[in-house]
Amino acid sequence: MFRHSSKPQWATNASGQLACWMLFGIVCGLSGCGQGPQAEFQYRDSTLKLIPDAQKAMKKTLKEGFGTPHDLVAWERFPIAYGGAKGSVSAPAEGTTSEAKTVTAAFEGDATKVVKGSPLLWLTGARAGEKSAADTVAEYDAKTNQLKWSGSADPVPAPGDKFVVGFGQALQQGRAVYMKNCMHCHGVSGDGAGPTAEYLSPRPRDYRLGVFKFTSTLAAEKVSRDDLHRVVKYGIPGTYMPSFLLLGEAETKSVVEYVRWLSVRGEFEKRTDDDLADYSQDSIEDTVKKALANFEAAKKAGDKPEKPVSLAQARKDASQQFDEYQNGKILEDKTRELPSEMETAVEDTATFLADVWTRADDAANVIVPTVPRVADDAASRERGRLLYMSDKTKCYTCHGMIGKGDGAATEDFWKKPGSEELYPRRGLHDAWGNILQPRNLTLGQYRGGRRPVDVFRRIYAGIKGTPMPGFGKTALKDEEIWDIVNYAMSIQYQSSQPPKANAGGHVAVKETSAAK
Amino acid sequence: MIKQTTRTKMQFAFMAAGAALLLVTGSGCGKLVNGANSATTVKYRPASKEAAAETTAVAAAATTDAAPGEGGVGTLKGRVVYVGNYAPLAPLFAKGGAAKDPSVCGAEAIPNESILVKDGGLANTFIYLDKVPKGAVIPAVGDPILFDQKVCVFTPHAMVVRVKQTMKILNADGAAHNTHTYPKKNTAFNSVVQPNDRNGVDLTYGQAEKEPFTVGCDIHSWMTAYHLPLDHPFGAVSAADGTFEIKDLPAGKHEFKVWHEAGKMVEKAFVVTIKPGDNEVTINVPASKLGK
Repeated sequence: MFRHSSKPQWATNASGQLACWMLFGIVCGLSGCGQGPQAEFQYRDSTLKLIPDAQKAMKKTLKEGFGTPHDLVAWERFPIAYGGAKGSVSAPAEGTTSEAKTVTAAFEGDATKVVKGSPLLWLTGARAGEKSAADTVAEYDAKTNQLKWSGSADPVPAPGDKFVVGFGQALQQGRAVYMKNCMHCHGVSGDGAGPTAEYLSPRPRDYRLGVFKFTSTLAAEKVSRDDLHRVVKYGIPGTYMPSFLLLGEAETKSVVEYVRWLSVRGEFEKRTDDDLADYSQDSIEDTVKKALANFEAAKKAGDKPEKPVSLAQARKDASQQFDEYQNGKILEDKTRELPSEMETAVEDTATFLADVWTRADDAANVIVPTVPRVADDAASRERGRLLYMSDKTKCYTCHGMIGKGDGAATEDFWKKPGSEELYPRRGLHDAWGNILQPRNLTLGQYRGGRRPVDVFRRIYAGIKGTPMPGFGKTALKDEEIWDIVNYAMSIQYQSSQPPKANAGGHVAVKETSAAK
Repeated sequence: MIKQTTRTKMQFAFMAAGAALLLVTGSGCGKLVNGANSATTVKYRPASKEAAAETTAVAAAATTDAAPGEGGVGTLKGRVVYVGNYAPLAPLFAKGGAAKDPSVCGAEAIPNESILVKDGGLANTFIYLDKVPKGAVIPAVGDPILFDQKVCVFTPHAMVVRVKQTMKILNADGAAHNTHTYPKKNTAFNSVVQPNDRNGVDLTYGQAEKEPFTVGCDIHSWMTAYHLPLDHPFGAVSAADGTFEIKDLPAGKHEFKVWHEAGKMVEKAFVVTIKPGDNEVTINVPASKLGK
């Protein structure tokens, strides 16, 4: 029945052709004229699995804390440089009435961007809050520091009142740069699930665990701004992360802030979800299932156990418990006990995140070798090789005997953390659940940077979110780490084949002739 | 099959509709504004809400209100009982049969510790309060606690530790271990402990956790332990015979969590009313709850 034709049948059919045109028309028509879809932050599965009340509360908390991709919320709690020129009132302008709407301003840093029309946000004092929401700069004289605002004349700011001109501009710029350059792989929410992500291996980083692999900071610390800056600027060799060296310095800086902000948002969501674990559908179903199994087992044993609650009832109960968790326990006098547990948990999470992200940029948390690099000579490389092969470091278990990244650990089946289940595929896995190959050192390609100090830091603190452990301070002295750096960085120049005894080599021939 | 007449009509309809849509799409489409390049607003949110200040005041008041040990304190002595038929589990590896480093890890058989029962008592069960009870006196954090690795097995297998209490991770083996934690709230720890290190590597947890989490070693895949950092002393792990003891509990009703690695959260709220003095309790854990 097959009839050969140069064109498929649908294309030779006139009405079929028209139908195609029409489909094209519909697609164009639906995609709208000049108005694309709104960007949205995706929620974690753990948020979407919460019971309805908890989910609603969770989404509200997130929205209040971070907003949407179109209406961002800059929560001052977190150490993110949201942008703008900060300043305070040093004195009300002399000899003028409040009608002049002028103060003498003292800017903390660069005030060159303070121009007419810039939004003016009062952080403290009488003008702070909604009443001055529409204030803008009417005039600013950098010589006399006279700042005139446009907006209502009252209330009058007092000396010491703090304000920001152009608040949030860095975040806005970061968002624009991110959506143009990064979103395709890393996703609108920074979940590493942008439209291109599924075609990539390794997968783009999901920022929402707050974990980044290539850092200069100590093992327990987060990634620093400098580290992110480097990755954006130079990319990650051996992955799809390209170099964005062509972005300007200001754009790079602002996108780094935006990535930090997305990471804080993501980890905030994850941690709050963990706190709400009792109110997840899975947890409720699990409890009911276990209670039922118990009931059946007891009945079989001849007991007369109490009938366990139904799933519907368990959900109702959970919803009621959640009400107390969110709004505070109802006390005997019918008032609520405040703060509610949820409020406390959210506060704790915010405090924790603010603290760890502040510490990440503390110079004291950057790994600086205590000794300069040990001379890269044959003796050092040999010491490094012996350490690499030793029971003290066990480098070879993952990286393999000759550094190909094919050690025995890559042949094992590993348990998923926090469960008794094994991963379906053999090999090592990272914190994101991706299969992970130990670096093949024969290629001379170093994802976290190819400066010797980069490799030193990888060995010293390990690689966050992966099985690569830290050796610094605990198992190895800094000199020993340098020896391993020297050896590891020399592997790429060595033969990838172990020497063969009878390869017809020059030495073997000589020996044979000597024997004769 | 569509008849010829209908087909002509349909052709015309298609043509008209297609042309109309093309006209619409072709006309006046300026710059495409979408989620990526649309204008954004930024709203300022102060570091703390005014309400936050009030609530801290209330919280502070609550802690001072509760007179320590007002209703007396009691000790909870209990036993976790395994209900069901228990057959001892075969070791993971027989003596000399360890999959890695047999010269070190093969010195003894590697036991399967996932369910250990002795005389009916279930070992390695966590019994704890997830929050500080009202009126409780929280003693200072004690001396460093030891966490050892012997013949490629973690000892103890399960432990409760106080937040900010130093844990010394030791290694009694002739091979390196990398102690790798998988906590939810704390930062993951992944550090090599060198062979025969009896001074230990320090690990301190900064945050309390809601549930115990796994500790493993990426060099020896079978090595597993469980840690639970708490910001109070009211937690214990059942001993080999299933017994446990929690001291200085304020009198009153408490809801304990009961957690075992084989069944995870076995009881979300095991209610015990503590009276001053000794209190005895038996926690029955049916085999069905441990997946048996």
